[in-house]
Amino acid sequence: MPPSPLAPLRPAPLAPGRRTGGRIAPLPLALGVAGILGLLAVRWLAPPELSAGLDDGVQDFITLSASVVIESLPFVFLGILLSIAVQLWLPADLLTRRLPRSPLLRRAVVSLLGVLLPVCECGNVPLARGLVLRGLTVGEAMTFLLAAPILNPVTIITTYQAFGWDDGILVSRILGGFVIANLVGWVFSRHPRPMSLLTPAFQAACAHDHAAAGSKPRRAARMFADETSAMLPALFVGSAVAGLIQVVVSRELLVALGQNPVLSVFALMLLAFVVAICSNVDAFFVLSFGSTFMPGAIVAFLVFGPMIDVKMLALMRTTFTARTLVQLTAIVALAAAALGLGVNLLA
Amino acid sequence: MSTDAATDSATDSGARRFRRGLAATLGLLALAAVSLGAAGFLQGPKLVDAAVDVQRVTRLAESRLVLQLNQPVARVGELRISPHEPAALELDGDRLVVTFARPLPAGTEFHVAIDDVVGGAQPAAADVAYRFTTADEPVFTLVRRSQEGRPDVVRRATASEPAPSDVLEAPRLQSFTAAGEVVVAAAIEEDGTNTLRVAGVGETTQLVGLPEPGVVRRIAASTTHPLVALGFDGRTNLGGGEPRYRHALFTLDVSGAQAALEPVLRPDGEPFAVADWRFVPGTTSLVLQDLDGGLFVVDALGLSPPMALGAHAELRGILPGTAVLVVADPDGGALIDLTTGETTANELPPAGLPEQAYPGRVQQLDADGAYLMDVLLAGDGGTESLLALVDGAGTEVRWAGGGSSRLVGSCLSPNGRLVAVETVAADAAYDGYPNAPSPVDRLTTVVDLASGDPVLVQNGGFSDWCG
Repeated sequence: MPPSPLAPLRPAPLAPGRRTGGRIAPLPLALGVAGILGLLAVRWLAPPELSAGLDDGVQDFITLSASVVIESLPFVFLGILLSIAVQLWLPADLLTRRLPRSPLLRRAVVSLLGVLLPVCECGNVPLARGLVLRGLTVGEAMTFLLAAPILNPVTIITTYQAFGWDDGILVSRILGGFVIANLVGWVFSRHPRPMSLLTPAFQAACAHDHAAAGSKPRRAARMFADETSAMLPALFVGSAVAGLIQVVVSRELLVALGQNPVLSVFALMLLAFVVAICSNVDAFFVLSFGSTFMPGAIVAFLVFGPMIDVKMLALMRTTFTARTLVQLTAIVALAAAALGLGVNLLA
Repeated sequence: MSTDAATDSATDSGARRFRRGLAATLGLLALAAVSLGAAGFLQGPKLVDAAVDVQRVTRLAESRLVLQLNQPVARVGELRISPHEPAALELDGDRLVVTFARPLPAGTEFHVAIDDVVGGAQPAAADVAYRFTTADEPVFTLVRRSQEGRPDVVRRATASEPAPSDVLEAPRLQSFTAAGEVVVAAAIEEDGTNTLRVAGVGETTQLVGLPEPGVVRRIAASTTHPLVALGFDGRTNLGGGEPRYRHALFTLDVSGAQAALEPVLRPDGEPFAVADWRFVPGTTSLVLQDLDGGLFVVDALGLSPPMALGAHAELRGILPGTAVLVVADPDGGALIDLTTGETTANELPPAGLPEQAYPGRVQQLDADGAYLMDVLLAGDGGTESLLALVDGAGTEVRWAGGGSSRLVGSCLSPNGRLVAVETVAADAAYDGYPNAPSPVDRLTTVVDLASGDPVLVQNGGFSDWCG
């Protein structure tokens, strides 16, 4: 009997793929350590006036990029650790057993998992990868990935601290995040070959049987190496792009756009995409725009930013194909814009 | 082979269904975004917040109503205020600022509307409207009842809640004032000296001692800040020693849990000897006149040194709700704007009174010279007290007492919109209180100056408006 195209799709074993785990090659590790030590030595030995000679734009680029990395790094590592814990210690069928059978209800419950795993959106990528490896469908993983940065206690509390109940910003963020994440999950759950939404490398990782090799600590170390080698380059590239765009696109331009009830929504969505700030602190960041931008624009920033930004796209690219990311981004962008424009209309 | 074909067919069918679902989702979301964006674009500016201090706006001229819109404003149409009040409209980015020229009447609902507000980002015009109700003006009176064997009491009522409530009691009360809801009264002790009672700070009435045995000459409060001031004379003690304070002025900050008196000092550190003084509305400052006629602006909290304003023969008061000082000299009167230092001649229009009318106390209402005048009208059947409103348009009677009562005082409310008229029976006896004897059974009638209608009648007198 052929499998139903709408049957819950698990990561099916594929043809043997390339090995992604394993021992870390000593030469690259040595080169990496030497490089870091070299940079530290340069920084330590360089005269202070050297940095003064740098162009302002370059200094801004370095500062902004580094700030995104520094802000995200703890959450990335936390997400990786949680991902490993999920993969190694969460019983294989626990999630599938505990979650409701109805796909709609499953996604609704999955979108609330962020309450238990309050990780910044950049940490959710490795965690979502771990959840897929532990039995979630791709659509459910997308729902989790998009909802968790918003529907978690830290984000909700910081948003409440920043805005209280003013203009329905908090409620719009929570409800908007929930609805958009579930909408995306529903759309992609209809895909007949959901594994094709994943990158070949991640498909191979899905096919790889982690349980087969070695003790748990050894496997945990290997998985940590795998995940960090997949995530950190993406994080650095995404952070660099975020820093570069912030230097190139003037803040004054964004503020000028913010005076318009329609364009303000898109301006803050663009800002959210560019600044790539963590959802745990983005409410305080955008609070400074509160007097300039309309509430709908603030809501669009707070909903769109945690789901899609340059850094997230780079991180998600480790897992999803470019085509999938384009489709996902289009849905989230249009939904966030509609939400923001609706709030502006009513607020 | 046939199974593979069926699988491929199902997969293709599923792929088509996914693409259709995706396209439909994107289409619906795009349609929603475009529709909501168009609706928002055509909606025009919207009021998102408004700020007005409904208490302060009844106490100060140039008080503001700030209307916060959801976008910067390019141009506006007409400003309409109902009931009508003179006001100016200013555009400040995404805010519309309405500045009222005069303090507004208390307990009144205002409807402020601005037509044809056009935002900088949208062509659509919208009307912006806001309603607010100004705070009630409390009316405090002192009812002396000691001759009936009951303690004297300060009572509070408002036009909307005319049933009075007791605020402060003491065996004998000489005078009182109210700073917001805090009432400070000068009580008369057995030996004839005063102590202070403060109600409204903390749970119970506080007893505040004076710096030495003596008498409170006059007590008044700021109309906008929790500050009280009082003139004080120390009494010569039994041993013949001279008191430290003569004609001294003390301030009392009633914003905290504990109130304490502070003397107002000259630059040399000695207490001012004060002939007259007034609070400047909207500030923590006082204007005082020393015994030599010199005028000074002093800060009641002592935050800035006294500033001399020159010498004038008489300090007549401050225009209600403003920082404009009214002074008089033998060669004419003047208005001194304490915010700018500008001095202008003060010309008062003559009152149109009948021949047997005797003008009394004058209370100026505005810089145009409108004033309220106590008048005693003598006739064949006796005398009659009345209050006349005099302005450039003429003279109109605002209150007439009749022959059975006589006027003992009239005082303007802080906004100059009401007047507390205090009357007693024509043949009323005096209560014999030391320092401040009064005819018994005072009755206070609060009259609306615009219409002449009484808005509240309450037993007692010594209104704090007279401070």
